[in-house]
Amino acid sequence: MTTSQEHPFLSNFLKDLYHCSDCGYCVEAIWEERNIDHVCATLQSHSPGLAYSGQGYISTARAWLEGENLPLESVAEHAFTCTSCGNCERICPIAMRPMAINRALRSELISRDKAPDSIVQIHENVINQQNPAGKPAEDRYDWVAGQDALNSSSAAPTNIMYLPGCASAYSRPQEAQATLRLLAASGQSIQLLADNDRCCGAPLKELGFKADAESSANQLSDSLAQYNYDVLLTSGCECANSLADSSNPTSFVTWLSAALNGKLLSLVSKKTTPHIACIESCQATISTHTQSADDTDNQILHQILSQLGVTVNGGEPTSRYALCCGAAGGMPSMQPASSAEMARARINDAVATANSADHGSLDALVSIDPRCVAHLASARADSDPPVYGLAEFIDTFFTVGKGDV
Amino acid sequence: MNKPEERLGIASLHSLDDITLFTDPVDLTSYRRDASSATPGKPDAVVRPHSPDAVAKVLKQANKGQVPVYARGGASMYAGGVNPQAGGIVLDMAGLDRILDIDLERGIVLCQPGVRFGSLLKALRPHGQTVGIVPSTAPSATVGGAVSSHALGTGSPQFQSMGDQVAGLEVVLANGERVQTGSAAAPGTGHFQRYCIGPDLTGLFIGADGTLGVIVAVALWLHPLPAARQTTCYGFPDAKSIEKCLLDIQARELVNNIWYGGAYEAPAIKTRISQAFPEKSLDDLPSFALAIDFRGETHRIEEDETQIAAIAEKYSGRHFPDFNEAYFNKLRTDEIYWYSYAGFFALSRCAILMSSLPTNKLSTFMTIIAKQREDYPEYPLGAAIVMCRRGLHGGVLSFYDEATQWEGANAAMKQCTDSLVKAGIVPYKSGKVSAEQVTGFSAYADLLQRLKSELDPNGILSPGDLGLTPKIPDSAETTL
Repeated sequence: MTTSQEHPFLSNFLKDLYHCSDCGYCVEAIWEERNIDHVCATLQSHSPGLAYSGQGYISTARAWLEGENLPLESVAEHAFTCTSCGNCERICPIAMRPMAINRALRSELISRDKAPDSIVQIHENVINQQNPAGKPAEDRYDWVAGQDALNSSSAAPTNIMYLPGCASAYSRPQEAQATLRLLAASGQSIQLLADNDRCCGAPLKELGFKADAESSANQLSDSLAQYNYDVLLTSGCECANSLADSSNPTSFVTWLSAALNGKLLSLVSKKTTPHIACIESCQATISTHTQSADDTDNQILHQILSQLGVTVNGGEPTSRYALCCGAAGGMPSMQPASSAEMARARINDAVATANSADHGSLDALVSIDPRCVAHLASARADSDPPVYGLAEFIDTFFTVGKGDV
Repeated sequence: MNKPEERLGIASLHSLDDITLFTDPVDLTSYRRDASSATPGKPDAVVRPHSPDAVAKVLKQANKGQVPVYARGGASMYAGGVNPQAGGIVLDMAGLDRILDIDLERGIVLCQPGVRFGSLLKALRPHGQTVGIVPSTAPSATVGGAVSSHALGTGSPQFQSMGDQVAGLEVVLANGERVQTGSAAAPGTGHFQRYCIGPDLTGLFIGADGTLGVIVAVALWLHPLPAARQTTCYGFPDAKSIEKCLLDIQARELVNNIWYGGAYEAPAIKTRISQAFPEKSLDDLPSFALAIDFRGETHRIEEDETQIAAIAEKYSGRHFPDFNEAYFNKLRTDEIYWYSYAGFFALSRCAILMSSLPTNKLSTFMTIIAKQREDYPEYPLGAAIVMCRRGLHGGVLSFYDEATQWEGANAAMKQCTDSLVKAGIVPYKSGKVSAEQVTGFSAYADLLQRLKSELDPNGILSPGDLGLTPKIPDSAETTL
């Protein structure tokens, strides 16, 4: 085995590497009672080669750690392609951490200048423009133009700091705008970081740029610390994960659930019974594990929709084992064709299930993570139902008011 | 000739549509082993066929070039059968994953070997059907792998073993020929009977770990989904009492509504009870527990449960509801594929030695386990006793850290295997972990070797498994 100096990141995972049971649950599992219908979207849509699975990353890491002379370009191609959806960790019966091991693999490769160019570009984009797509930092709050919602009362009971995240701000401004309108309708006071906003570091963390990810998260936390607010609200699931330790953020779906239960909002459906399919976000489940009973944001989404009388196609949520739509990890930049195919697969699954049920055609496809929404929308065909974020869906299908329904 | 596919003489496979070929060293790292503690191998290539014809093409090419071929399913087995000890090709059968037919009139499901049990159960449920034996790693385990390695699983009190549930097979031989067994051997007949034509050639390939042919289709018997279920536990003072109770239950064939029956030792009982009921005293706990998962018609379950409770009482067994509540009921319901998984509670890799024993050797089995614990205190052992229609499966589980304990754990398990065999308890799944013991059964091993030499004269199929050697022995050439 090589030393911890040679593999400083992987050597933190010796227990996982030498206790993995090779049961294969992280490769593929079908468990009807738990709504598990496949584990790894990469194996489904990109390549059936096991080296792209959780088990594969463990095998590769162990072989490298034990001194095997593996071609690092190929290790990088495999490691950075992974979507980092985390299903391999959630399903592991013995709590191993293949996703974290893959992240360590990425860190090892980055430290040897072996990260692929497209990944290095994302890093540069975040460092230089504060967003992974490399769009101008100064355009981050263009979506706010014309929004009346910010004219809120200082007498409001709760002061909310709204952090749209890069995906909402740049790729899905409709979701950020709809969120703002819902927050305003609930009578809350709203603040934005505006010029002080920046990437939370989630894309860097996901790709293995550990130190820069921590630095980005800390800088954003420092900015937030300059403001007084009661609730830090995020649209991006990955932002919520990234800031979880430092700033205790609340996801939009959690806030909405509380707002409805606390009767801060009244929502009246414009259509008798909207019929939708949820495309659950893998990033909303990232912090849960097999042996945890915690509800995830995907489950809360289903509770809200049920409360609102929305017919959700497909019944119970896949909840903790959602298959990635192809928007996450290195997949979109490393394998754009496979990434698009994943999005098509999710849309096709949703539409096919809807067609097999007796609820009529779908009114919408709904997802809670703006990154997923933007990616799914880019893969949508004209014949598909429209794709919405949760705030957009409510804004479109409900009349929003303050107070009791 | 630097590329592996050129070296192996399989470069032409690249041009085939129904094959995916992997030769990148990073891709190959994931195909070295199964869940066992057997030594991993290093394949030169991985071929993922998507049709039986593709399997035949690969085997023909490999046979021509005398390249080893290891068929692999879910690789969740504890026998090392898929570990490519001699290098060559790993044949990843997960690409053959279609359910070909669900014939309710014949009571048969015909599927390709790469179908996961989870998929199969899901497909059968709308028909009110299931299969007899379901491995504890059902979400990921494949049907072909389970048949090829003679897997264990839920259902053995009613249905005995995986092999007994196979109605027929389609197999590709080493030379690429395809053959169907059972009634399907008659052209155009299909699978409905296993033992109708001459000797049972189906059995030749069950538990053979791919050494005699590669399974490309499996016909399994269907069974109706049980209408009701109920779990019950009984506590016993010692191993002899539970042994007698099990013998009595089996002799009266009170097994037709038992989906699973397991025996648990004192340490497991103490751990589960203390975790679930920390306030309870552990002083009066039984030394053994018999836990039964009944499935069937409600009134039949009630009748059998009454009779079994009376039998248990005859041998000093008492109802043990705490163990049922603390552990067993949860094990058998919504958590089944977590809890049943061997490493779940220890959060660790484990070596498992599976054996088959007559029920009247249960106390002998436990004595051997106790001795093993004394001899190897650094490798904590768990014992898993699973009830069959006749006899028992006895599992020995050893949890270890591969970084530091691999060799030691294997040595300990080898001693345990030797002790069990000496006591008349036989290895149940052979693969590579019990290959040495198989070669010790001389007449049987000799016949197996002759069959191997006839069916696979170049020894390309899973070399090293079952102790079979690739070369044709002189005696085999003259006898067969």
